[in-house]
Amino acid sequence: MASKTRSLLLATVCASVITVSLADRSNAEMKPTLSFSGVPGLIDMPSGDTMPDGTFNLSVSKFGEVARATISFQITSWMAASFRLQSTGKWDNNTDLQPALPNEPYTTYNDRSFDLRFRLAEEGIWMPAVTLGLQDFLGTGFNSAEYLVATKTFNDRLKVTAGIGWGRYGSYQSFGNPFSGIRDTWDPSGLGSELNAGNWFRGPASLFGGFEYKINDKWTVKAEYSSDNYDLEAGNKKVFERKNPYNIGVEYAWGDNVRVGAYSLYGSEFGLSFHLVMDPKNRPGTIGVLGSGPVPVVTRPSRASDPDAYDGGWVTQADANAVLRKNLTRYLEKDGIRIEDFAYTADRVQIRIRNDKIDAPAQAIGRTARALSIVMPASVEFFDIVPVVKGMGVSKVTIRRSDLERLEHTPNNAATLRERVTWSDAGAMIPGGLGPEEGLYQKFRWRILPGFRVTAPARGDIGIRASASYDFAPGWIASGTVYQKIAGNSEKAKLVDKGGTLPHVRSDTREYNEGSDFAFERATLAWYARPAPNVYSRVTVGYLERMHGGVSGEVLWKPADSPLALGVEVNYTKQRDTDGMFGFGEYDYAITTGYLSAYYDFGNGYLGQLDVGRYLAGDVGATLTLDREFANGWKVGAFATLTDASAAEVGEGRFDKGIRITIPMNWMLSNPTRQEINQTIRPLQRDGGARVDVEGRLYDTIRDYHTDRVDDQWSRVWR
Amino acid sequence: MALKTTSALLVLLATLAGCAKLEKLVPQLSGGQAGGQLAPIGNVSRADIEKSNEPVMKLRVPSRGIETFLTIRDRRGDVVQWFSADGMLFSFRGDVLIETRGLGADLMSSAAPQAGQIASGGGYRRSYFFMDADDQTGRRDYTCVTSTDGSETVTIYGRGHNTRKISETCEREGGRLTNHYWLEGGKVRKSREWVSPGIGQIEFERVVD
Repeated sequence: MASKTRSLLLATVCASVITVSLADRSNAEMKPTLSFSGVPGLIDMPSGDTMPDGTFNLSVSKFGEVARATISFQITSWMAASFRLQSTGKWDNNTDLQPALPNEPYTTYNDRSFDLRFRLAEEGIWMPAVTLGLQDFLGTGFNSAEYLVATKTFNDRLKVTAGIGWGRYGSYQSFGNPFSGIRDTWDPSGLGSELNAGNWFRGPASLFGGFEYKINDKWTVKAEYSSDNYDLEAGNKKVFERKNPYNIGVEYAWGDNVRVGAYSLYGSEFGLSFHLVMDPKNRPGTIGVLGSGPVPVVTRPSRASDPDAYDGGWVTQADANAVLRKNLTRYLEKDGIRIEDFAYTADRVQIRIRNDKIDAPAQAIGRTARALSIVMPASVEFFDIVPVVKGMGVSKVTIRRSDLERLEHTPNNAATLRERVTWSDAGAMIPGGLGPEEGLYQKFRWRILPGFRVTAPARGDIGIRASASYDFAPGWIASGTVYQKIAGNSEKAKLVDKGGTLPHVRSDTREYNEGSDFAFERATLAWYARPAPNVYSRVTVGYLERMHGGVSGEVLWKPADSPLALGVEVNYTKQRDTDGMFGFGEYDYAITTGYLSAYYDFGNGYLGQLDVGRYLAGDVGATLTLDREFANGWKVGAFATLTDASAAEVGEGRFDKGIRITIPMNWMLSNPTRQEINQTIRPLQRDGGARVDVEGRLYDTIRDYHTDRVDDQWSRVWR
Repeated sequence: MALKTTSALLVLLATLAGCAKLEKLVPQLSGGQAGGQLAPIGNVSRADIEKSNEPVMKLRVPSRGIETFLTIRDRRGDVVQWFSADGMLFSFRGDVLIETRGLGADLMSSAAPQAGQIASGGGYRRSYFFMDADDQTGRRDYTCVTSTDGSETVTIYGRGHNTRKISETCEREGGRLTNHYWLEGGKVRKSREWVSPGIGQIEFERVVD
């Protein structure tokens, strides 16, 4: 009887455990983990999981001679893209084979690939997460694979994955050809960069799968059955021995952002992986920014109680401007806000500011308005705040002082204030200003940073890059950059002829890197102006970039509260010598290039840009750029240029494309700063679709203070 | 004409005098009295704190490991702003926290009751507007009721205070939070108040009135 009771009790407990586990599932979270290919997955195989929207990850992995470095970005909640470099060593291991090229066999084979992943189903109580993946969908096909994979989480501890793969993932124990059709084999001499859609889901398919078990928040174990036979590597190249399809490993999570793992793969190899996961929406360790609070808004006495305070007679006081300005400076300087000009009438003040520090434009505007509320006599009701960038007033933000006073401590005051603020073209300055603050012009600035130059993946040099600029007067800037190499291995890069017949306007990276240990990379004089309402202009003369010098002119139309901008750029340039000095003799190449550009902010952080025109090699075409921009300044984008240069003229790579990333320092430091890191990554730098790399183009220069950008972080106006 | 100039001058002088007065109210600008002048929080006595000769509050932010003193920076209308040596700012209306600045996931604005309303009980609505991921405003609306948990002696830096402990329970669909207030007479002596999902609860103790 007792034993019967116990077993009944046990059954009840079990049942409740199961109930709890199912109930827990719906809101339980077992974060997705990444594979050797830097996509959500097991070890060498992908899974059905999706990274959180907007997440960016950097993954490095190696087993035996196979090393991969991948950058992935979750573009939307349902679509992700990856760019990968794969380097396979001991490519010449099998001496029985003819080298690919006589006299110069590859010892290491490098391949670049792009992936796209689409989430077909989100995980539900019964439904697994399902993902469709296209791996290496543009490349030479070396890593091509398509897969459909499902992952189900149980009890917030266990994930089970099963999938079907084609191409590389359909190469082991394949079961025929479900969708029929013939799959082209890998063509090492191909030009790549062509949608190999004809191959997708063609040829034999295989099943793969595995599981992941979370021991605790830090440790996870994984085991999988791989359907990648490594036909080429383990087969005729004999890079490694694939003894069986089983891989196992253990992973350690170091905080929320870093994950490392150690594995046994294919019964013969030891593997390691490292993943850095970054969520642009969340600064590591904090939400929002740290840093001191603002000064209070000072409320004026009511007009009824103190009518004299509202007398506007003070405007005629001779030294009023200097005195008021001095008081303003006291409040503004600690936030890095400098006064470019300041003038007023009895009821209106215009302050032109340069914001050197605060990352969120709204916060800079808010702090300026608070300072004005403290300093300005009571008769001043309208605050016109004009942010100035490179000498140009880029917008005018008009805030009513009574709104500030009324709203400071009211609920939801950011949204309420925004409805009452107006944006317009900077327009003319109120007469009577004393001009820029002392120390803003005839101002010399410099900085020295570590730098690098890349010849080929993992080949190039490191050194020091020093930049200096001199602000002569508003809008007039002389600037330059020099680079001094410290160490490098550029000479070891094995570059094979990638074909193409265009002039070498961009592809002689190696000559430029190895031809100059010390180089004047840039030396220019730039003039910025606002010739008409909503119109901005730039003229830059000199050594515009390391490969080209000449003159570049640009005009941009962009109203302060418009998502649309239109621009024209014309450049006349000559190609510079490879020695990093001032000559133009080596190439004897001059060309006029120019573009018509349209920029559009689609909202929700999605930006588009279309440029149409003539490129450096004389080819004519268009560039399409799409960016996803986060409120704090993180930006991840991709671009592609198609021109009339034929595939044969361009050579390998066919057309110019790449990704670009901007990481704001405020995200890393959690404190206000306007510094940022920019990096453009191209799988292959060729000569088709190349553009002069002029610094300080207008759109990015002015947009920070236009509504489409300021509104992203408007919450911080009261910060 | 002369009269006009004189009056203008007077207005200007009044303005400038106003500024001079303001500098007293925002002492961090001129490096005057600030919470930072107190000794490190670990080894300070009530006597040390009282030496500053001004109201002092002790702040604890468990989620960020912050423990520091606050002094009054500014009183304006019914709002009192307290600040720390490093510039963190806390605004109270009727002794109840309405805004924070400098914690990161700050409480940017709120609709909150005043201490009197909390003491007298009953129900009301509360809204929190806080800094959320990617610098966006998060909003949570609650319906709140208060209850008296009984009397409690609160000891702050060696001094006992007889208080009435009141809990304010706020609910919304899919969430609930509780704020605690220890009232001495009509004044809040100690409180534990919610800021945002990123910060959670923070605690204030009034050391010197």
